[in-house]
Amino acid sequence: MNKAESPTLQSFASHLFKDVIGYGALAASSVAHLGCLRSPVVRRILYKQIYFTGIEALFPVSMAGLLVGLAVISQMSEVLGSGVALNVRAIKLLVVRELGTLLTALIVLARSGSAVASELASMKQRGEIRALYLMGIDPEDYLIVPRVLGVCISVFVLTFYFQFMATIGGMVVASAIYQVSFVNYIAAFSAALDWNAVLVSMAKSILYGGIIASVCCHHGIYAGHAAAMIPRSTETAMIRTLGLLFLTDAAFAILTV
Amino acid sequence: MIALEHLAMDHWKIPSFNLQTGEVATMFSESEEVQTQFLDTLLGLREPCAGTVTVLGRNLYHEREASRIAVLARVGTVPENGGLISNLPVCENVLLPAAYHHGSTASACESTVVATLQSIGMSDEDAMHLMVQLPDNLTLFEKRLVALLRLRVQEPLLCIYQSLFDDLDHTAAAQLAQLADDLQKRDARRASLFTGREEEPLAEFCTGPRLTLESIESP
Repeated sequence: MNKAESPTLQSFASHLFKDVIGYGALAASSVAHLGCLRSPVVRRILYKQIYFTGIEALFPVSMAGLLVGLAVISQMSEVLGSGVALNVRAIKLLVVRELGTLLTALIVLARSGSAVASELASMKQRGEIRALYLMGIDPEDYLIVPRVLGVCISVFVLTFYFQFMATIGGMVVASAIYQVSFVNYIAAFSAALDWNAVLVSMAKSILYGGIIASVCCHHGIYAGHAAAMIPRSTETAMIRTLGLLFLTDAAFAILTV
Repeated sequence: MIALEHLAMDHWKIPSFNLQTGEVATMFSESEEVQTQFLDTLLGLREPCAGTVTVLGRNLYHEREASRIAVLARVGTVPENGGLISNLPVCENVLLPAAYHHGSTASACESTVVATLQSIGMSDEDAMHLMVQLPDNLTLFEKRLVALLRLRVQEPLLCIYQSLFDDLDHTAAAQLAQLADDLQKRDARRASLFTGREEEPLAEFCTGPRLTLESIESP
């Protein structure tokens, strides 16, 4: 290693390590502060977060689910023939076990993660977090807890919605194109559905939601006061979340084979 | 309400001082940064270099987060820019601390807000228009007015105003002074501290003891 590069790499690694500890601490602290949801004011922020992250994402998630389902079935049919069992297996492996959670998380990250990070960084820059504190409102209770919980709930629900759209939509389209009975698809899918894969998918979706919210909230709320820090903290939040999502997905893939 | 004992920061110090129940005091400093530093020290966001500060009987810097926030819930602050939350419309900004701490609802506070705005000659139509605005669309006067409305709904025990009259014309400053005075008189236990960068309006609108920061020369 070049001597000149060494301190920079060390400093980067040290910052990264501190940040990862910070993400964990923020997530743990959010769980510890869940009692703040007794306040109607905080619950309203939670509902708003679910609306923006979950309900407003239904259309893009529907489209992505349909297209992914169609792509998976058409590619599998192209390579391995149009057998129902094979297509169902492809859907089960790719959509339920892998792509459903990851792609949903990526859609939420692109839509809401960036919005959360830039909104919090902007609030910090405008002195609004200080203002909340001066009103006797704990910024963590008011800003972080509803966002973390709202994103987790949204990713959890959207993942199932994505899987539903990819499975059902993909099968509808595939049965129309390849002249295979839709009922046969459904029957084969129901028989082949692995509930362990569903449970893993549930766990992954909650974890991915937590990762998106914690990383984006962390980089938003700890952004500097300068206006230039808003895009920078948003960009860092995006890159770090992407890295963590892929790493976690790889770890799940290895551990659950 | 506020007790300062030999308080000093890097570049300034302040004589020992007690703000009693029912009193109004002023603090003048030409520097906005020094004022912010003073208020942050007072409200437990910054540790003083020397001396002690107690607010409502508590040294906020050394309190646990939960107790510090519980004390701050009884303190109403109007920062220089109003301290409004930019993604909430004015009506939600006005209600925020009262709803958070006491579960107050919009319908319960509506008459208070309308009466307060009428007292400075604002029509119902203008008041309605103001309530649905986002803070970014407001003038400096309107931002401070909304922050004062927030205090009026919150009914804090201690009110702290940062540069309430600065950068405003005389009429606007007089309207805010009237509202702050009405709020002070509503509760005999209430105390208020005004800080400012402009000496004249502070002297004109606020009576009571004056705090003066003394600069510390660098060695």
